[in-house]
Amino acid sequence: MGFSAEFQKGIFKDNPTFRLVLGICPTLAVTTSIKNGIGMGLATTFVLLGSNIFISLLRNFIPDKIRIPAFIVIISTFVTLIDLLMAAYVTELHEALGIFIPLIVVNCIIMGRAEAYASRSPVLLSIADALGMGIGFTLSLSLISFIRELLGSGTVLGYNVLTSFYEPAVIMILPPGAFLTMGLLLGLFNYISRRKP
Amino acid sequence: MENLFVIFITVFLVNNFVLAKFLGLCPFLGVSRNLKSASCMGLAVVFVMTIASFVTWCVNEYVLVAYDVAYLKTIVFILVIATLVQFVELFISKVSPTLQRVLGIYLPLITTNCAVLGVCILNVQEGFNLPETIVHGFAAGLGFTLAICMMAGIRERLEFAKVPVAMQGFPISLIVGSLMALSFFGFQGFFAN
Amino acid sequence: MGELLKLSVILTIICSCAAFSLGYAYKHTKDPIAEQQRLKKVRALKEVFSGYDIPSDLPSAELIVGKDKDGEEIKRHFFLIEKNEDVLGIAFELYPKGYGGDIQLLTGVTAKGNIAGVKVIRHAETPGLGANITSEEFSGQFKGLNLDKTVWRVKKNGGDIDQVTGATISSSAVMNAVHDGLKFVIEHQSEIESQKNEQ
Repeated sequence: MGFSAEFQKGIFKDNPTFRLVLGICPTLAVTTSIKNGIGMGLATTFVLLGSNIFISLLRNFIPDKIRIPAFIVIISTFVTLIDLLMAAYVTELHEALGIFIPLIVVNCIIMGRAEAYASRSPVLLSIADALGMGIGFTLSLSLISFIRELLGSGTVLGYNVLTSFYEPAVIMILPPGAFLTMGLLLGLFNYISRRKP
Repeated sequence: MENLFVIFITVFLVNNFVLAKFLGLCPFLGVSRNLKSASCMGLAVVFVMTIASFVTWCVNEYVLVAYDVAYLKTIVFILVIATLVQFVELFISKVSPTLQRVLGIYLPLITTNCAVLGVCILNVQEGFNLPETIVHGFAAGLGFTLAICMMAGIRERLEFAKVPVAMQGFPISLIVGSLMALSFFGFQGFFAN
Repeated sequence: MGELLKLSVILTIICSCAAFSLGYAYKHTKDPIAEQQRLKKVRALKEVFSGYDIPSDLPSAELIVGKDKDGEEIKRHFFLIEKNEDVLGIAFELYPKGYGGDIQLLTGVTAKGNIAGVKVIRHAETPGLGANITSEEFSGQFKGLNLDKTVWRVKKNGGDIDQVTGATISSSAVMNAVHDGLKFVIEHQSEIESQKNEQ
């Protein structure tokens, strides 16, 4: 598979959120606003890129028996890096995402790609995979947070869009709304993919 | 003592780890098809969460903070948890084969359960002392078990319902989760004067 | 044995590289992070004491404000805003218990004994209800209030304080905390001023 095919895979066919159903915890937790959703998506993409690159580079150096601890160390290093960088330069976003930044380390997407792909593929393709999955994840988060922010706060990216005639359904930015949005979207995407031959 | 009780109820019901904090969702959706596997997973989680809370708190207190390397918390905690789970597996296989049959397959899955790493980080963030940490970890695990068992009970009944094909599996479970989260919302304000 | 050694060595190498790179990153982000925290505090103080000149380093005094449930003393910092040795105002943090958890407030008292302002720093109140304590409508109403001329009760109970609709508990928590804080500062004003030290 070429670079662009690998890349596209992560966005549609193997979208981590709606097809592989991975990384649900941060998906439901941070999608209360589009800004947070995109921020989390980009942070996760950073970690994905870093870990995929290094794990692919070291794939012949790391013995099979210790691959899991080695992966954990590499992934958590990048997570700590992005954590420190965000705390220093985008403090507000860092505070909004809170505990879910260090929790990127147990995001199944990252460990999953490391194990299933980066550890057995050349660097360039691993980069394509990381970018595809990361951007696919970011797009999914953006979609969910667009819906939740619009219906739950009446705003888009903080700008009041649905003026005063719409009373925001606050529940959309609360846990029940998260589960509901995700469940309905997942059902919708299932339906669409079954329709296609 | 009263404080410990407050922590327990707050984490168990009011701020339920799964339904309010969004931690532990992967097993919540993945291992809740029947009550038996749900309760086994829950038991394993309680076990690991309580011990992990204790161990990571000590590591943080006596190693990370003492040597001013608190930024290594994420790496150290996840490695400690992964190692802990290995040890627990070994220990259980030697001590109680029955327990091993019951918990065996669920233990490795717990390493990537964000609820475990989550509770360890929260213990430190909230500034709990050791007894508070242990209660917090234990209660979080019980809260998880409560949620996953409730979900399993409902899903067992859903097997007999006419769910549209597109909604079968995860989608309908998420909708159920939404209703559960809504009902648990009623616990808010439990301790307001 | 040889294999165990090899595995350990490789793992050690990976961990050391990780540790080194993180130590390096930490060293370089430590100051920006501390700066952000400090800026946050200054920004909050500027909102509470709007129009005042807030320097980057404020002298502060630490006083015991009471005892908590376990009988331990609760200490709080009181920040003094001065100009030419005159104390213009005192800023301090409050941590009342709200509906969903602790609320963190930053309040200031002017030299005349009025509230300079109230800012909600952190809270766990219900969005759409108790969370509206952060609105200008609610938190802004405390500006200029003082001990004698204000009736410190919610309007529902015949007082002067406008509560957030549907969130009496959150509103009362903030109101009572601000009231107690104001009382404390006025009572202990001389003690705070004499205890101040350069940070």
